[in-house]
Amino acid sequence: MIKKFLTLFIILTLISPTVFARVGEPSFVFAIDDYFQETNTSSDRNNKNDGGLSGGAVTAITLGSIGGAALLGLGGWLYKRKAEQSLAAGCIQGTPNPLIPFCMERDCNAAIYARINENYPYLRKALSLNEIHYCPDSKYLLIYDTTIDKRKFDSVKFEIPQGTKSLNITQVSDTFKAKDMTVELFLYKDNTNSSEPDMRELTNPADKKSADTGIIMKSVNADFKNYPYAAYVVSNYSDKKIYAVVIEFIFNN
Amino acid sequence: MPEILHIEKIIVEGTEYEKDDILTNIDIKSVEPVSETCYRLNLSPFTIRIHTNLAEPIQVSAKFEECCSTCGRYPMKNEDLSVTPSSYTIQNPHDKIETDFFTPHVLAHEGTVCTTYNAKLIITLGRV
Repeated sequence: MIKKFLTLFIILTLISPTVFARVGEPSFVFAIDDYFQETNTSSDRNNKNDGGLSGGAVTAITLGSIGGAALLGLGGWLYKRKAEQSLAAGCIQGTPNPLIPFCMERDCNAAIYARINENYPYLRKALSLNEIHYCPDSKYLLIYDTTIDKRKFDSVKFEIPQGTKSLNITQVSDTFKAKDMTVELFLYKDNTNSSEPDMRELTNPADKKSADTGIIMKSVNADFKNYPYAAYVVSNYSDKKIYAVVIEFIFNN
Repeated sequence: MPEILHIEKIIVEGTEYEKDDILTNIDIKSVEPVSETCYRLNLSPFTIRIHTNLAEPIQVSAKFEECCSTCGRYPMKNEDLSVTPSSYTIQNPHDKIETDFFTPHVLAHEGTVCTTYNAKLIITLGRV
C-alpha cells in the first residue's frame, strides 16, 4: 500500500506543472522628490555620477501642461526652502488639489465624532480645547493623528473659503523642545505654486509653554481675499512625534 | 542527493544582499514620459545569484508586490508597479548562476505625492 502511494506520488511529481516557491522578499525605500526640478543639460547628464537621476528623459518632466511642479506636488519654492533646512518631505496633502473646509456635524452622536474619539486621541484633545462652531459661522479642516519622523516636514494645502475673516488653529502634539518643531502657515495668492507665498510662523522658539504642553493655539488674521489658498506646514527636527490639528475658518466674528 | 535551489544573493549595483534584506541602494535611475500626465520611473536594476544542483531549466521571477508612502497614507496601485522582465528562464543551470537584470518600474501620475516610499519585491524560483 505504501509502495503504491509512493509510486503515485513520484508519478504526480514528475508530471506536475511548474512548481514555484516564494523564496525571497527583499524590500527597499526610495524617494520621489526634487529630481524633477532639475533641468539637465547634456553636460550635466554626462557629469552626473552621484547615483541619482540621470538620463536625457529628465528634461521632459519640466515641460508639458502639468509642469515640473505638479509632479513635485509642493511647489518648488516650499520644497527648496525645506531642503535648505535639511528637511525631507513627509506627508504631503492637498496638492495638486487643495483640501476644502467643511461644516462640522451638529449631531454630537454623528459617526465622525465616534470615530475620532475611538481612534484619534490627539485630534480628540485638539477638538476639546475649543468650542465647536457650526455653519454658517465657521467651517473646519481636521488633520487626523499623524506621525512625523525626524528631519521631515508635512504639508497640508487647503482652500480658504470666500468670506473667511480669521483662522483659529489648534495643534496638539507630543511635547518637544522649543526649536525641535516649527509650524508655519503659508498664504498663497493662487494654486500654481509659481510665486513665493507669504508666511506666518505659528511657533515661537521663545514659547516654552507650547513646547512643554505640546499645545499650539493661534489666531491668524489677514486679508484673506488676497489669499484663496494656504498650506499648513509642520517641520520636525528631532525624534518622531505625533500631532493633530484643528483649523477653524471663521466667517462671523 | 538532496535538491538544491535557492537564492544565493541579490545584487544591486555591486552591493550584495541576502534574499530578505532591505536593499539600501535602490534609487530612481531614469524617468520616461508615458503621457502628458504620467511618467515611468525606472529604479535601480538588480540581478539574482542562484545556487542550484538541478540540471533541468529553472525560472526566476520577480514581482513588485507593494509600494506605499512611509507615512502609510499613499499606497500606489498595483497596476502602477512592475518589474521587467517579469521572469528569466535559465535553460542550463549550474552550481551558481546569476540572472540578467530585473528593473523595477513605478508609474507616477499628476497626483503622485512626492515623499518617501516603502516598497517590497517578491522573488520566486521553480522548475519549468
